[in-house]
Amino acid sequence: MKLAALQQLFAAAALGTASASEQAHLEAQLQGSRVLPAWQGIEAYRTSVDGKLRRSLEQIYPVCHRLVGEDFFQAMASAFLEHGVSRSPDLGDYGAEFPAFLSDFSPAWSLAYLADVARLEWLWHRAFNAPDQPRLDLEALARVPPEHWDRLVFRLPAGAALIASDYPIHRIWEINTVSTACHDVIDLDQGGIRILVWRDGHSTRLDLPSETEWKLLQAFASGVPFGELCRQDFDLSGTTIAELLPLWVQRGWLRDFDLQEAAAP
Amino acid sequence: MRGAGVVTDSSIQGVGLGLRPPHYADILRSWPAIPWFEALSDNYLGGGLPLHHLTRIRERYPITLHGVGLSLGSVDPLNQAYLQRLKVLVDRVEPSFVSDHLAWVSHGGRYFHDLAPLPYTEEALEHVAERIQRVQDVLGRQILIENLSPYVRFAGSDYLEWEFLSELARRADCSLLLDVNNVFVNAFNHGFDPLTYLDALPAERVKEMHLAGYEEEGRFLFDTHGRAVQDGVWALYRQALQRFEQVPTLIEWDADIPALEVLMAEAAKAEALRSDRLLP
Amino acid sequence: MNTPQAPRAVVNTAICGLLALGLVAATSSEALAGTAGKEKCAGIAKAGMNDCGTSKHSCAGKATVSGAPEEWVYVPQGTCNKIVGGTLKKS
Repeated sequence: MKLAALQQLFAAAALGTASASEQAHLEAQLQGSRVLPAWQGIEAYRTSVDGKLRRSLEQIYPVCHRLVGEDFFQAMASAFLEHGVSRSPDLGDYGAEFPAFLSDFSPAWSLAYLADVARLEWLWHRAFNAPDQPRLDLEALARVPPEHWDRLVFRLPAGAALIASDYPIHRIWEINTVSTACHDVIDLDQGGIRILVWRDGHSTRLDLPSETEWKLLQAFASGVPFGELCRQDFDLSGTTIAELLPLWVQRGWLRDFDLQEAAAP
Repeated sequence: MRGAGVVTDSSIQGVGLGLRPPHYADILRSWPAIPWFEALSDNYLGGGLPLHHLTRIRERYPITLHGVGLSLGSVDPLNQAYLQRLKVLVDRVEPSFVSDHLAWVSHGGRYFHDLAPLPYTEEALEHVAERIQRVQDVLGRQILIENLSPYVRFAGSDYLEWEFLSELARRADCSLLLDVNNVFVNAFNHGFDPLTYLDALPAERVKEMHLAGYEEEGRFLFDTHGRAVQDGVWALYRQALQRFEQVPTLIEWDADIPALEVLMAEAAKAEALRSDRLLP
Repeated sequence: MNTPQAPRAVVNTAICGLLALGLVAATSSEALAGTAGKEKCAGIAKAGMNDCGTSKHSCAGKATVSGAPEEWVYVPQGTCNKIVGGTLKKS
């Protein structure tokens, strides 16, 4: 049998999607041994593939795992694995769709906050693995002529993300990750939260911006050029963009900039 | 950042350890006497904190990079994006060796993250040799190819595994990474003499060896990297040392990872066998 | 509220203020940046995702229930019992 056909059969078997006839066809291509019959060899791969995908979900979503417990989590993972396809050689890229899957997953609807917690965990995982970035290069900024300052687009750190939830997911996250907080009880009625997830050198952080900061962060996150951003009428509660900009650059919230292409004349 | 006494030479010798995240803190605090570390390249491609730790460790230790994602045996096109990311990492880390497996981990763009074996046919040999050459061209260096512990054997093979591996190394002009545990597990599961395997390999191409622990599953053996090296594997390692001499050796542990001291004790055991061999 | 500045002037004031940072000694930057509104969560040694051992995951293949709600037999039994209040949202 040609390599391509053989790999197609084997991949289907390893992923658990092979039909009975494909399985039989594959077994006919194999030579089992006294201790390891062909069917058991195939089963070893199917189990290992399943175990690796499952373990990576556990490692990316440890808070969800703790929230629902082992049996429920594994059952959720089973349902997700039926549809979740890995398209990257890096297992760290697997499971981005898990939060959306949980939103639609009726057995978990009694935990209305679960999908948002999962979303937070995914963003935390991505921020943790995002590339290191130096501070904003002020010397390069000084070389931009003032007539182009309108077109400056400031960027949040690589891997930074904004997430809002109707539930106190930062507290739920905290009691399930920080051991000293494990006896706390969370009251969902304390309301929602807005979070900036990002990494500052060694620390992957959850910052809680004020309402004012949130709106401005959203504008920066969506790449609004600085001139336009200054023309938007943000209610900055007494402070000004001129005060916030240097502060945010120093804090590390703004990490880079580029120039928006000039509009064609 | 490199000061006096800091290792900048990229050659490795002795018994190294697989670098795993639970040990970062210990290593960065106490800089233990370990001759080199092997990092799993796939875990550092994104950069971030993992790469930050690796970079700091690289300032004091030689590093080898070992990967699982090249999918060298797959009939899919080579994943150029992955290869470019690997090249960036290689250029940054300046590893002593870069290795991956005689395996495939993807089909139709879908990855299953487990090392699947190839049939030992002329078609597969040509296919994988050509891909290894292309990877070596992009990276600008020789890579090491590691043997698996396959749980299936394909019936229509033209070569035995050790013949295939030897011929592959010759055709692709690559080096070999001999996983002694895999040879042991493979020989047990498929019923052959592991010494035949060792004797057949071109000694001059074997640049590194791996040691790890297997587990029993019913009547066969599973290559879990989840426990200490077993007695039979130590015995085979002794034989391998006769044949491949002072080839640098790695202790690998991937599941239920114990304290760094446990790994260092395993390394000391391997070192003892290596010095025994030097006695008259 | 302050007297509104012309947008152009706002841009100029802000960027000039930012460029002036280059003149501030590094030691003062912590004080200027402040920590208000920040909730620090220390980075932990997250496990590496990829490895080359065979997985013998204890749960692999155990939970094979499909997502169909009528077949669902599991109940969340983790730390979610520490979370109280909130009216269930009906979709």
